[in-house]
Amino acid sequence: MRLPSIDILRALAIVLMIVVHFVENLSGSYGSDGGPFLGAARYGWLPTGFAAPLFTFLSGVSYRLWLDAQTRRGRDDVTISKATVRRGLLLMLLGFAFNVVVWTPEDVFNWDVLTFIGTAILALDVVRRMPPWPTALTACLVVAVSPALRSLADYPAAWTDGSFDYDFTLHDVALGFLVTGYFPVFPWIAFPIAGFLAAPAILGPAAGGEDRGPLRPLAGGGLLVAASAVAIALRPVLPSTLTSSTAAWTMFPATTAYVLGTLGATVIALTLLHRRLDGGDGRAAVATPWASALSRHALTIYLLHHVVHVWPLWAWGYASTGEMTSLWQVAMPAWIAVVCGLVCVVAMAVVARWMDQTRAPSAESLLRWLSDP
Amino acid sequence: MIIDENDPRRSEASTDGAPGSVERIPLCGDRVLELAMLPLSAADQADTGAVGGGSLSSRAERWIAEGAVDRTHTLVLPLFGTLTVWSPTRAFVAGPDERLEQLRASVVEFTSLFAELDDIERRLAAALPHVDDDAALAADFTTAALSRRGELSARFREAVSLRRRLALLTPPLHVPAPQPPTLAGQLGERLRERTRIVERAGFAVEQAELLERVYAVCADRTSEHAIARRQAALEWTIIVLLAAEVVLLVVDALANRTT
Repeated sequence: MRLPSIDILRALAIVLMIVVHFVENLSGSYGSDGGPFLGAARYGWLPTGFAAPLFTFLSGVSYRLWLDAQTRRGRDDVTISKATVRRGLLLMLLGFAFNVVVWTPEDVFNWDVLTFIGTAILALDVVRRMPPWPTALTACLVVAVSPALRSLADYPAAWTDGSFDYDFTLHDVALGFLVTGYFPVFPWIAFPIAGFLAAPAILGPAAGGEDRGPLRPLAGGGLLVAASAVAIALRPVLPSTLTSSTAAWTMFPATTAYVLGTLGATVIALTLLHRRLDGGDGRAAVATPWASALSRHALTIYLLHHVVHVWPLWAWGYASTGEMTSLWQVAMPAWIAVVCGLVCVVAMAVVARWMDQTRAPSAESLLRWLSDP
Repeated sequence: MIIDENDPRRSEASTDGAPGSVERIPLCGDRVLELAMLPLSAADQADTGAVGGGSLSSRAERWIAEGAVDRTHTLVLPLFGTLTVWSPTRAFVAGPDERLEQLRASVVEFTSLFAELDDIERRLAAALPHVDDDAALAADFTTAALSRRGELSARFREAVSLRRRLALLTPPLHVPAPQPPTLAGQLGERLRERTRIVERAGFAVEQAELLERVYAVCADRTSEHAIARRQAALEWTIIVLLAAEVVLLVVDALANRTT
């Protein structure tokens, strides 16, 4: 069963992701202070840092829906586990391949979002066996210990000019996976766990829960946003060892305020969209086919939009200077990158609809074929 | 026993179409017995001869049929110059004036037992179809079934309630007829025989025992599952805290190695 609320939220994440990636990769050094495009130097108008929380939270929600569907079909625990582990490992494998093929071989262990979602799916196979309260405690602990872990791991030392810069050593790679990479387990695993945990409360019977109204998830989301504000307010009085970021709200590293704020906003957005659109009365009829197509092919679009803007960038840079990455973040002004990104969004929507209508093979169909029971 | 002679719901009912004066007697639940009584003189008995075959019997049967829920239950019992036509909701007794009260008492007592058993049987019939599905939970209670805890608990309480009612109902059904035989005693005996009420009570006891067994095990499983979940939550909490400590140690160790 597809829920318009999830499709629309994931489609929004795709649009934000494409535009932000185009601007960051093609125009990053045109940042507000003219320097590397990180932390506070980002464009104020660019909606950076909202797509990944949406994707990762929705991966937890989708896993809960998938799990319920498998249980309803009478699939046993071992079959569900095998399918989950296969899917998680395949996504991690795809993530490594993507890092090598789209970026560069030395970026293989940069711990980008695909390897993270693969890890998250593996973790969810454990989480699904846990009672709710220890699961919630896990998510809270992850958020709580992450600043301490960043401090222990000396997070700023692992980053150079706004990029994760690691050595090919076991400890650097392991620390990147746990704490210092682009999407490390700490604190990003809190998003899929929260999505898995909150899905029944937000979606009610659609996710195997009871319909107790929107008040509880809205209050929970509100509390998270309030906690985020408190974390921002407390930052000046926190010891410097716990504030490894340049500002209170940054995505790299994902600060406590950022995690709580985006998590709260996502919970509120999904609750409101679910109440507004999932009634089955056609209120989402216009947006749903396009959003559904984008959502259904999110993985393909993730891979494809990188290919269409990063590979030309490498080719153009190699052709002009002989150095493949020479034009990275300096290829064009931001407004041109935004236009290119929006054109890409339209093109991806058309491609996704075409794949839907023709049942053309996609990354998703390959993943299903390889992993589904 | 089951009938309260002072029940405020007791009343005289309309006698329209009834072959005698009608009394409404409340039974278990919201059931009511409409009992028509007609005193017969010696001449009436002589006129009618065998009262069971006469027009009085036909009139009584017609009146009972008008108010009967189930016509298969209508019994006609002529006995020593008296006539009793009985159904679970309406009954008619006719006989010499001095015997009417005995007949009335016998009919009312039997009907009250019958109504109680009938109500128990209906409840059993409603509960038994769930047993096949619920028995699976007695063998293997899953987390997915937790949402049915209230439902299972209600069914267990219902099973116990039915067993209790049957435990109260069965002894009066097995009370021996008075010796030397009386008219009321014989009427009661015949009503019990014709309705097979003793056998039916036996089957009801077996069915209630089945329900009680299944739902008692379900209640045990539910309780065990709830306790196991609490223990599992505690164990997982310890695991999570230990895992957090391990992660801190690992990251610290890796970071020290790097530096």
